[in-house]
Amino acid sequence: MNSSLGNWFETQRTKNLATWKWAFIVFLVVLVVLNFFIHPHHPEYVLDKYTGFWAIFALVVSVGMVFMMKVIVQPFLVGPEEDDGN
Amino acid sequence: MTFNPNLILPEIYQFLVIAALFIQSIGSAKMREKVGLWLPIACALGVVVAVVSVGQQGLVFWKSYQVDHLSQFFKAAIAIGFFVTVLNATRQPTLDKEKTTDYFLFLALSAWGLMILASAVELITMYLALELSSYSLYALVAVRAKSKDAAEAGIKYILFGAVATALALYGFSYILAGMHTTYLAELVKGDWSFAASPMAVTGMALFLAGMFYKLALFPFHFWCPDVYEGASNETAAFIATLPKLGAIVILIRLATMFKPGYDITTMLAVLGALSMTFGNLAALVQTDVKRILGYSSVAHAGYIMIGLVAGTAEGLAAASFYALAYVAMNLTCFWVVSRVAVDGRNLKLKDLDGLHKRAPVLAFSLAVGAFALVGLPPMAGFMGKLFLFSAGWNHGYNWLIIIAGLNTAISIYYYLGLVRHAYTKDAEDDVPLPDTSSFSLVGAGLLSVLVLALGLMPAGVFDLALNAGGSLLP
Amino acid sequence: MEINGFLHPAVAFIALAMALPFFRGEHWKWLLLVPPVIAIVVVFTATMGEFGVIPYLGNTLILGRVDKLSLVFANVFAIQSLIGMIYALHMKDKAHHASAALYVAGSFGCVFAGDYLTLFIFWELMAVASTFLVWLHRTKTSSAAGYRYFLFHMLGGLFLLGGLLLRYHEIGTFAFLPVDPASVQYYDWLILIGFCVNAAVVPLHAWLPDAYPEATIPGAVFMCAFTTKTAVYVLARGFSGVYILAVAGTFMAVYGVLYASMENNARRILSYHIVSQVGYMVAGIGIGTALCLNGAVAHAYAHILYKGLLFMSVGTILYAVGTADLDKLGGLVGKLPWLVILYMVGAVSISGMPFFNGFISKTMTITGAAESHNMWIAIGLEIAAVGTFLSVGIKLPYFAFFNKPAKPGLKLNPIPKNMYVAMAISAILCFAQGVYPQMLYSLLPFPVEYTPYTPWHLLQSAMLLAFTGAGFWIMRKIIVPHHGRNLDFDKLYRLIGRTGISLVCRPIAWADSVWTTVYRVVGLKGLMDFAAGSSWFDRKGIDTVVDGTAYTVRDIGRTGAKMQTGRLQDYLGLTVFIALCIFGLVWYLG
Repeated sequence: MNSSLGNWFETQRTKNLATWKWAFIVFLVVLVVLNFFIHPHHPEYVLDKYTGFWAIFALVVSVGMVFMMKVIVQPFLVGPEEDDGN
Repeated sequence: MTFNPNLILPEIYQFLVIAALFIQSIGSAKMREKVGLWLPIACALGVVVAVVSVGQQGLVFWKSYQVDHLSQFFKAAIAIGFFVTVLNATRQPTLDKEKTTDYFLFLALSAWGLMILASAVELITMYLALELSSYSLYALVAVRAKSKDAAEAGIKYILFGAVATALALYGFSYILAGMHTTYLAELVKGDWSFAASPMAVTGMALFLAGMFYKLALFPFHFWCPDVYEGASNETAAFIATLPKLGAIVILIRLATMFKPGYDITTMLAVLGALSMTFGNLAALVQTDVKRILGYSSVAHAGYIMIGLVAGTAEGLAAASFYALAYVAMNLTCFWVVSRVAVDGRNLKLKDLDGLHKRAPVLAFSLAVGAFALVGLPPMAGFMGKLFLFSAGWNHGYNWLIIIAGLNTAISIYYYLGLVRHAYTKDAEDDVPLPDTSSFSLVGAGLLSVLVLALGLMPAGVFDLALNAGGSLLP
Repeated sequence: MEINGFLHPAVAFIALAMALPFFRGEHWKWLLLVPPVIAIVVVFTATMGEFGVIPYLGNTLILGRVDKLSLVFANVFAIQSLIGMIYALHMKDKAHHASAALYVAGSFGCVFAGDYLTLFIFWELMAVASTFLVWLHRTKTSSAAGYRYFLFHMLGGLFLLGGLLLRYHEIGTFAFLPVDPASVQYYDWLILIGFCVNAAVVPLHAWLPDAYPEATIPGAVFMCAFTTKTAVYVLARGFSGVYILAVAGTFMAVYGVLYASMENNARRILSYHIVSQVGYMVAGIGIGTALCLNGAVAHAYAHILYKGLLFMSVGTILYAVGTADLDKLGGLVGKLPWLVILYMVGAVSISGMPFFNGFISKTMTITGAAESHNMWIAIGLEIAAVGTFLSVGIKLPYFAFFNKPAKPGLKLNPIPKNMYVAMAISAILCFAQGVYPQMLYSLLPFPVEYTPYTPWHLLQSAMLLAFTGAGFWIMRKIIVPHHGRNLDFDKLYRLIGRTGISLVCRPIAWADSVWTTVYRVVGLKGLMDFAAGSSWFDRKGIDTVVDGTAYTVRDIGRTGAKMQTGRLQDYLGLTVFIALCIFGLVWYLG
């Protein structure tokens, strides 16, 4: 059973990857559309009431975080790994 | 007649035992041998009877016989001691089969005499009881399978005893002349300082000599080591323990007259000091186990004097308790000795070698008994000495207590010697094995338990003793 | 059902630890499950109150303070201890089980402690026992890491001890009661520092990502649950409403995710996420409103479950493949699909996806922060939420499971069934609490007026998570993990340690060498001479006296015994003579 499930995953990962990608993009669009209709009762922040705020927030923050850490910060901080060959 | 037989129940029972033994002794030859089973059971019943009668009180037989706490305490002690010695003596290799019943008959008579002695409060009664118990023993000392030493010991015992009791009678006559009465109740009211009644005091000193001889107090002790050595092990067990009880009870009754400061009391103290010192010093060089125990009896007689000179109820109670404890400890040692000497021989110290391997229970019991005699806690001897010393301190004889302490230190050497031989040395191969039957081991175990119990939980017994002493000296 | 009275669960665990060395044979491992079951029974049937009150040196020690706050933590500790023990069933090392049992006992003791002294005792027990969980991994790096862990926790414990003793000196009691946020004293600060060490507040946090990746596989599962959550409990009990915690918590939350996004070792990523998630809890405690405290407690409960699940699955990967470094893993979904599913349950829980227990707890805290007008804190926590999903929910599984096909010929160690069972239990609980939040809410200390499942909440979470995923996809080539260890505060600790040692050691070593010479020349020789002297005195002086006394006494005895000649006439004569002498002397001198 393990291998059949594993095989299914492998199939999805390789052959059906494009299908999954398109499904994801559709999902993103649906969420933004929904945001036009569903709003918070009382906005937690000033900007909360704008449609799509959270979408942009998430996108900006995630991209910015990765960029900041991996490109700018890590080269200063990284050192040799302290492993013992395990 | 409004006489209540319950008052003298132990004596009546003992008399019945004597009667049964007597009948058996004049029966056929086969009948005479069969004593081994029914007698210990009868003695056990006798113990029960004596213990049950502990609370009796009364003054009977024309005021010469007092039944009170003191007498009943000692009768119970005598009954217990008799039971153990009878048990011990049922296995006696040196006793001819045809003499068995006679042997026990005399043993029972001697014990009976001691019981009567415990209740006697009139001088002649005391004397008669004393003689009864002594004569019975004279015969027994010599009963040892054609041994010349036993016969010699018997002769010494008789003649020494004869002199001592002669002195006692002589003193008795002086007391009668001086005080005009022989009843203790009246005698205690008299003035016993030497200035007031020199004749009576001298007479009392001589009368006491008879008691001291029974107690083996210095200088009346010379018979003790020789008789112990000469008699068979089992007879020596009886002689070493029960007569001392009788002597002590008399001394306790008389002690009410000995206020601290009187010459008589000082004399008792001096004799006590000399006794303990001489006994311990002489025991240091002995190699025969029974001689060691004999000298130790001399020493212990000295210790008991401390309680008698104190002049308080606690002192008398301590003396009573120590007497009981002494009997228990000594019986333990003699039990082991009798069991190790399976052929009835006299044990030397080297006969004890290797006992811990051959009979560990016996070795342990010997150790318990020996250390109890030294006075080590938690054994009975420690408690006894503790009671004696604390009762006797600050009553004018502190020097006696200090000497007793020094003597305890000296005595450790030879008692420890017994234990040293039993535990650290190994036996020769040709020495016969000790008796390790269940009879022997159970007996040894129970006696050790008795010694330990008296040491760990003395309160009940000591209260009895305190009652006993308090009835004399309120 | 309520049973009157209270059996302290720590008793059962300590008893297990003490009894373990005596177990023989093969089936003792099932006994490992007994104390957790006992703990669960106790927790679900306990009555409120104070138990185990012991008077000690004028103070009272309270061993069992049972109220809603301590019970909810004890509840999740009990469940997690059962899961952890099941996960560890395959280990044959009894020392490990004993250490884990003592560790759990320590945390139960801390949770139920009603006074600081009891707390301190169990606090130290936890520190020592958990150090062994690191050391028992038995690699070179784990020995060093465990040592640093131990030293640092001892330092934290000292702060706690100093604080509580000074507090006792000032106010005369050891009682463990909340601090008034308006008047925090200097001793309270010391206690707070001690607590913050265990809570991994930045900058005292570096022991966590240093030591947790080096622990044994089941050991890390235990450690991730208990040390930090005990610290959260004590902070909630003692320091709720102290505002600086809110700031520190937010900082922790962001700091943790920033570092995690750089990391390579999977267990180190998860460790930084512990720092981050605990930041949520600390922030909630710092704000101090009922909603925030509820949120912090609920988050702690949920966190134990899903973090345990995450560590278990990563630990299983480590067990199966032999490494947890992301740059060495890849494409495992084909080989270990069930493991991937279980991991993803944990990952979506921690990210706050609807229908899992992270959703019902994390959002409570953020809402509470926003409602009490702490806007920047709320925003910080949202940033941390993005980062969490980014690294745990997407980066780790992507690089470990999905991104490329598995190495051909990859040999996997067979995974024991008990690991799967434990993970499945955790996953089921995460899901169950997600769809039925009342299961968790009924345990919280304050009444809950928060409904997680509103359309807006669902939409907001969905948007947050989905667009984070989009961001990851955009940056997927840049975020590739590289082999290496990032610089964190632990290097600072090591620097301080080494400097301190060299500053102290040189002068002391010099003084010691001087002293040794003095000792040898003067002291030792003098002592030997004295010994020789007393030995001579003992032999010549004392022994002579003692032996001489003994010999003399014996000779006196020998002489005295000569009186016993054996002849009757001598006896009788001596008797009479001596008696008369004594009587005469007594009367003459008396």
